[in-house]
Amino acid sequence: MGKNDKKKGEQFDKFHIENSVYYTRVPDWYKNREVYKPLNTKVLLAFIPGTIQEIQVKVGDIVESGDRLMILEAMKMNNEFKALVGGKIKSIYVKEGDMVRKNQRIIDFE
Amino acid sequence: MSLKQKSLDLKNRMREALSGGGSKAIEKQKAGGKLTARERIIAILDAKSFHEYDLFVEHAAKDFDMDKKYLAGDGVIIGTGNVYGHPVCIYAQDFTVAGGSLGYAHAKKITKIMDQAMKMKVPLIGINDSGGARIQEGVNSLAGYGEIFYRNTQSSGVIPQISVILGPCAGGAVYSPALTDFVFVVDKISKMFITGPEVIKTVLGEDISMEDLGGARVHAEKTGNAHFYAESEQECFDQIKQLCTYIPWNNTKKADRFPKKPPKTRLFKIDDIMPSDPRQPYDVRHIIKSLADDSEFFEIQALWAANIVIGFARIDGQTVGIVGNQPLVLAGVLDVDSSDKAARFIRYCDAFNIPLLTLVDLPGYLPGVDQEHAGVIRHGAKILYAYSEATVPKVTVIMRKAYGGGYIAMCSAHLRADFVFAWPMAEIAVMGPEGAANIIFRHEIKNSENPDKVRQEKIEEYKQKFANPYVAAAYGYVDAVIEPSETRKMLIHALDISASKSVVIAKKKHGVPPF
Repeated sequence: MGKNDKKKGEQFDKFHIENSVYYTRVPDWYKNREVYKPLNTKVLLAFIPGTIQEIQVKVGDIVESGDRLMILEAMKMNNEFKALVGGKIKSIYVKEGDMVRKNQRIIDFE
Repeated sequence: MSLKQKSLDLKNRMREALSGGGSKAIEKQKAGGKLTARERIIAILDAKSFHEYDLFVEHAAKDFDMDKKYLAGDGVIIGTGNVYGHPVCIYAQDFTVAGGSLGYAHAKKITKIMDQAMKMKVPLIGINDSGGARIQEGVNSLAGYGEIFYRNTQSSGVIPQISVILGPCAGGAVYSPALTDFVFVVDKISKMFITGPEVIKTVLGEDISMEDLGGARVHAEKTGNAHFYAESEQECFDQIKQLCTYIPWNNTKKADRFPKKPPKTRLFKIDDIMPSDPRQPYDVRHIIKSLADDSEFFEIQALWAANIVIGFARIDGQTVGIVGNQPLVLAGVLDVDSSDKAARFIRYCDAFNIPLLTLVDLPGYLPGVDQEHAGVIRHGAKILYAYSEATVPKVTVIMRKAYGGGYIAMCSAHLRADFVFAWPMAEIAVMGPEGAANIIFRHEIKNSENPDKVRQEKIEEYKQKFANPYVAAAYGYVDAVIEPSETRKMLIHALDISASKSVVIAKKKHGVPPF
C-alpha cells in the first residue's frame, strides 16, 4: 500500500506528541511561538508604553509588596506601578518625563 | 408636463443618481483594481437580473453644511436579483460617494434590504467598501450600525448571509461581517480593523502598515475572520457564486441536488494516498476528493488553522459539509484555532440542513503552555458542543489515529454520530502506544535490567492489543470496520438512510455554548 511512499519529495518536520513522533508540516507560528518564561519578580518592566509621570521611590529604598513605585501615563490614564514582592531597590533606569516602550526595563530589585 | 416630459424627467433624475461620486472619484476607484459598487453587483448576479431600489433616497442631515451636499443614493446601492436563477437580496456601499460613509439614510437602505431578505427568506449579500461612520451625522450613524448588527443576528441561522469586503471596513463596521456566515476578502483591496495604524501609532507607539494590520492575507491566514481569499475581485465573485451552489436558500430548505458524478479515482485513490508508515502524513483533501462527486471539494478557510480542513463537497449529488483532521499540518492536532474553525462550520451546517461527514486522523490536542493559556479548554469545548448539538445526519470515518479527547471530539458515537465507520488501519485508543506503554508499564520498565528493550516490547504489546479498531468495535462504538474502497458506497447509503432523520431535543430558548 502507499504509492505516495515512493514520492519522497517533501522533507517533513518531526513533531512529538506524548512520546510519539509524527512527520508533518510544522507552521511558522508554532515554531516561532513564545516559549513560556516564569515571571521574574526581580525586574520591573513597563507593561504598556507611555510617559513616566512621577517616581515615588529611590535606589536603596526597601519596599513591601503592593507599595506604589511610580505612575505612568498611558492612553490618557494614570497607571500605577506597584511592587509585586517586597525587596530593596537596586537600580532605577528611568526619570520623570521619560517616554518608555512596552517591556522596557524600569526597576531592578536586589 | 406632458407624459413624454415626465418620462424625460425620470431619465434625467436617474442619470444623476446613477452617476455616483462623479467621473473623477470613479476613475480613482478603478485605478486600485476596484470595480464600482453597481458593477460589482452586476458581476455577481445573473445577467440582467438586478433590480435596484431606493435610488432616489437622500440624506436629511443639516449640521456641518451637510444640507448643501447631494450624495447620490446616499452612498449605497440596494436591490434584488438572481444567482444561478435563485433570488437574493444584495447591497453594495459606494466608496465614490462620500467614501461610502454610513449615515442615517445609508443605514436605512441597508436595513430595508435586510428586512426584505428575512421576510422573503432569501440570502443576503453585502458588499462593504466604506470609510466608516459619517461623522457629520453623529449618533445617527452609530444607530445605523446597531440596527444592522441586530438584523445580522436575527437573520443568523435563518438565511445565509454573505459579506464581501472590497475596500476599507473599519471600526464598528467590521462587526457586521463578523456576525455573518461567510466573509470574502481580496488581496490588496480588503482592509479590516477596529483601530487603524494611526491610532495604534499615537497611543502605543507601534508602527504597522494597513496591509500588515488588517489586509486580506492577515484575515485569511492569521485571524480567521475571512473565509475566502482571492487575488482579484473577479476571482472573489466566482467564489461567491460557487458557494451559492452548495448552500440552501434558507433554513427550511435543502441545498439543490446536482446530477451525481463518480470521483476521479484514477487521480485520487485511497489506497494510493495512505502511506504505509502510520507516522507519515498525507493530504486529507486528497481523501476527500477520492470520496466526492467529480473529486470536487470547495474548501473554506483554507489558509487559517490548516491542521483541520473544512468545506463542502457533493456525494451522490447531495451537499455534504466535511470536517477532516489534516495529518499534513501539525499531525492534524486539535488546538484553539482549529476547534474554533470546525465548530462554527458544524453549526452552520446544522442550521442549514447540511449533513456532516467527519474524517478522523489525529493524535489528540496540541500540548503547550501557549495553548493552555490561550484557552484551549474553552475553545476545544466548542467542537464538543457543536457536534453534540447538531441534529443533521452525522457520519464519521475513522481513518487512522483517534486518540484520547480527540477521538471523542471528532463526532464519535458518544456525541451521537449516526454512523461510525473505521478503516482496518484505524487506531482507536486512549493515547498513542509510546505514551500509553510508558505509563502503564512504568514500573516494569524502570525496574528491568534493560529498560529500553522492555519499553520497546511493551510498546509492541500495546500496539498489538489496542492500536486497532476492534476494541472500539467490540463495544459497538464503531458500527462497521470497512475497506477504504467501500467508503463512498457506505456514505451514500448512510446519507440515504438518514434522509428523514429526526431527533427530539429538550425544549429550551437556546443553549449557552462556550462561544
